[in-house]
Amino acid sequence: MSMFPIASQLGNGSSSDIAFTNIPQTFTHLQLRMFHRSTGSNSGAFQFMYFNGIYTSPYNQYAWHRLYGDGSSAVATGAASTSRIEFSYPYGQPYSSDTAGIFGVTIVDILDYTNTNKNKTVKILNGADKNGSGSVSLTSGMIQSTTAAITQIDILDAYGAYAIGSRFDLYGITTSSTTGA
Amino acid sequence: MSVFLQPIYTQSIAGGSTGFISFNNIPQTFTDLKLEISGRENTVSGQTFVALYVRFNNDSSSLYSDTRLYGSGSAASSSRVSGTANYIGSDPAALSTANTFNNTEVYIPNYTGSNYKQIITDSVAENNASTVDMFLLAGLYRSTSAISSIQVLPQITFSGYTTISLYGVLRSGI
Repeated sequence: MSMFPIASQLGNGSSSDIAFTNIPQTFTHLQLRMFHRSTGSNSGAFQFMYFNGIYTSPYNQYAWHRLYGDGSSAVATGAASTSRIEFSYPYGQPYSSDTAGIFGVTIVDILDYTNTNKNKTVKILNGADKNGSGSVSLTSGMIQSTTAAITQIDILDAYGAYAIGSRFDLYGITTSSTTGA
Repeated sequence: MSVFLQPIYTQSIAGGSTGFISFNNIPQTFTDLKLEISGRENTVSGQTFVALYVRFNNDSSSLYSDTRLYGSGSAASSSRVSGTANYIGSDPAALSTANTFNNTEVYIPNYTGSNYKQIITDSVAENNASTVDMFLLAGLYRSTSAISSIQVLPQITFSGYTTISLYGVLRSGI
């Protein structure tokens, strides 16, 4: 088997930060699957991601770019030399004014996360349909200041806390150099 | 109980460079295939991004076509192309941020079936600058033959530390 559950965390309605620490260094790739909703009151309830606790001065150690559709148009945007990776904008995370029971979905792929010859890049698929609004997006992101292995991932709700019912599951994926292993 | 996602083979370039990477004698026992690519290319002409392709069964005839949704970091567009391989995104090259590799998944359903082969790809080539290459791609290979080999083709050559993993996916009941 090649896909192993590493850890799972739940939103509690009061915490805005989900942290996966001491990530095992024994896999090849990581995948984070998120089912999430914000308690915040801002409709653009986007989220941030950063690695190894690196959200520090001079706040220029990441880059991200996004391609999204909001039901009426397609848009590409992004930022370089910025403080964290931003994702799920504009409407990919339901917030307090949205219909109860609607959550957003996000899948994050982090390849070769232990390889110290590479800056770590992520690919983020996010979407939320809210029966009349919502968005779907593809986001790329990277930490460009270090090639260190990823040992910690922080997910941060920009405008509120993660609502009860939110779930964050981290998986490790192995590879093989021998057929069928 | 069957294994849902099973690694078939991984190829890594330890250093230097190489041309195309081939997966041969692919087992015909899975339902679908999945490629995970963390790649970068060498160039001599000073490009930021270069093209990445996949070809099946060493078939270089004009049986491939793609529908693309593309983001450059500042603009979105969609297009269609056809050719002798399926386009699956971009590799960072000499002018992109150093030590940065693309993040690409190619999903190949029903690869042993007798219908035409339809693939779906999401690919991002991040860069600490205003310009990136991001793609969602639907690709068609108009062949009814089962896929027994896959060739991943760089535009130039893959650089060191490029890693490509092939997985087999099993449906329930197998």
